[in-house]
Amino acid sequence: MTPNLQFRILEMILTQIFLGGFVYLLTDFRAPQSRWKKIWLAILLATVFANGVIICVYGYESLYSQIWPFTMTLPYVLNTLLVSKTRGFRTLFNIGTALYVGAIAVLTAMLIQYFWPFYWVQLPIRVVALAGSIPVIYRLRKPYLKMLTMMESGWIAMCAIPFFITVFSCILIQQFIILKDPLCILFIYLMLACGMCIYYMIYRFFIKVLEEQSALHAESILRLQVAVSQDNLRISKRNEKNIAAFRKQFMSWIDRMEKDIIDGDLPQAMDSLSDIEAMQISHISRYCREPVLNAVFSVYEQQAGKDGTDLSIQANLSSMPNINTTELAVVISNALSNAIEACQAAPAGKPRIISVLIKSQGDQVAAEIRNTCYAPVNFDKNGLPISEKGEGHGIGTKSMTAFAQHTGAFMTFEEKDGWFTVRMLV
Amino acid sequence: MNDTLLIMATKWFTPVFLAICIYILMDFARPVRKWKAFWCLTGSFIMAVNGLLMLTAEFQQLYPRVWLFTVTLPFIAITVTASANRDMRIVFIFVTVLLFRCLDAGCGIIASLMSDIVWMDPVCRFAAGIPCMVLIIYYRETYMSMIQFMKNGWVVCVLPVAFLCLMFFIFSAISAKMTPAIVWLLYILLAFLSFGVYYIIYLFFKKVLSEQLARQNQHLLSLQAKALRAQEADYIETEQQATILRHDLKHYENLLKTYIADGQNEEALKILEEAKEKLKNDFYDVEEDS
Repeated sequence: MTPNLQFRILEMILTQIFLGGFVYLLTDFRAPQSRWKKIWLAILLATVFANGVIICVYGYESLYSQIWPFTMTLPYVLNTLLVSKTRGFRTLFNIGTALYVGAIAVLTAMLIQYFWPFYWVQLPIRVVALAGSIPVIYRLRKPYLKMLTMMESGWIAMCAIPFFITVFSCILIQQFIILKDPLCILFIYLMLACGMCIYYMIYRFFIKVLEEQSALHAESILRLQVAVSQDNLRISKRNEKNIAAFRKQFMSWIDRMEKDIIDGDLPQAMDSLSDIEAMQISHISRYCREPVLNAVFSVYEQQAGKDGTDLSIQANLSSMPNINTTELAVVISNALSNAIEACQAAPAGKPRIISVLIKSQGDQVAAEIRNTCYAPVNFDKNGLPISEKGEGHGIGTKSMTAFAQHTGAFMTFEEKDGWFTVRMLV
Repeated sequence: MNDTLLIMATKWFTPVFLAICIYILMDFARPVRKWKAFWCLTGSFIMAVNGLLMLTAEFQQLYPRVWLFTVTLPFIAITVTASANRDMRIVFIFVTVLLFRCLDAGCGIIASLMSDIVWMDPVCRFAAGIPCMVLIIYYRETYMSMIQFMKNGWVVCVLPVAFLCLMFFIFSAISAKMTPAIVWLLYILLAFLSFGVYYIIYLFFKKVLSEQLARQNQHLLSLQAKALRAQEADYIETEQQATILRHDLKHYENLLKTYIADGQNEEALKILEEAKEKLKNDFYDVEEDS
């Protein structure tokens, strides 16, 4: 019994509903997301429609079964690459995964149909196999989407694996049809099971990368806390020195006053009294009440001073119970570090200026960090500056965007009229 | 005769190559020197006995059927004895080495399928064995650092075992029925998959190590932060006292002004004494040269 064209079209549409759903789940759409999602869906519907027309006009067995990689898979790949925030192998992993899941469903359906030659049998089998993959894809989705921005290397191997497994299984099924050797079936499924194990390993790997990132983040926060404590100690030691000088001065003033009063020299005592106003405990300036931010500002003020950079800080921060000030300090520290680096790279004789404005109101903090900038800055399509040191964003920018994602903060980067500005609303 | 010798030499060198790979990846029991010496001596003895027996025509006939008992099992026994670990880690070493050996044996088999030249097989095996050895050496450092954390590594053992089965299937079960081009293609796909899987394992190990390092640093840093915070608390107290005193200065000034103007010298002296005491009590631990 040969399946009719309506059946083939139904089969193609049902398969694409699932595979399209998998690709959709694993795609990190470009901003504005709703627009690119609509574009992706429109192209997908057009592709499915065009494939349906090809099946109707030219037939399934005669033409479509040979050309579907070009009429279906290729447009899928191009469409997904077009709408994805990331490029290259990161996105191809998504397509490869859908291909692998599709291979499991299609090969199983083909084998069932081989042993039970009723063409309609393969459709429910295919649908069940594809539906069974939904929880796996759903589980993989969250860590995978996080990995897209966090992981730099390893994507080629991760993309190649599902493609190779699919090709290997397809060759074996073809050999099974030719050789009729049942061992082929056993090894097809062994390979597909290996694919499952590899996906489990990739999943564990993604989780491990997340754990590593979280450990590194916690480490950087602790490093900052230690640096803050060390800086506070340095400030406190200097303050204690001033207190000691004050005590000495105050003691000698008391002795002088006592002597004048005992001697009955009251006019002199009144004169000495006015000296008390001149005696002040000089404290080292603190920018705001938050010790962590204070320490960060203090460290960068010193660094800027050494480099001949003019750093002005205006901080007006009240208590912020719902904001993790250490994390905020890490972000400010990254922004200041980038600003100082940019100023260091300024040509000789050009002004090097950094200004920091940070204010809080209720649970919101607004910050603006500006610095003079004489080299052109490249931005990616999401408005993030691209590091000149290597491929992708700098570590500081990555950390800042991770903070923005984590806290829901709004962050912009801008370069205009020789000034680079980072604005942040937490 | 020369061909037979070449074949026998290939058969003899194959376990030697495997043994070298196992040696590279092995975590020897303590004292390491003693167990290394034991392993090397017994391994050399096994290979020497097999080599001598191979020189006899009877054993050459027998070898394909008995190598499992004369070479493989003794090697497994001495490796398990000399290893520091007797769990999945030792299984991982065996399957890794066997898989890499299968990959270069596959090269030789395919070469012999495509050519009638007898020495093509050993030459191809040898040529494929060199990059495998280089990879194992490259992989070693990360693996050895990782070995302490890899106590439940069934998944990393399952995949090489499955790939070994697939290799066996391709070369033993169906290679005769398929065209050499298909065998080649399947072999290349399997080789790439194996290397891909090992690469992911390698990346995983590196991430585990990096995470462990970060956790260790976290522990040390939290201790340091705790100590510094305790030190900070003392200074903060002194600073608070200074702030209070600064606030009190105005109060002393006004009082003294009133008492001196009114001629209440005794009261003024009392105030001065009180200030002196306060200064002594509140800042007793402040050193001028701190």
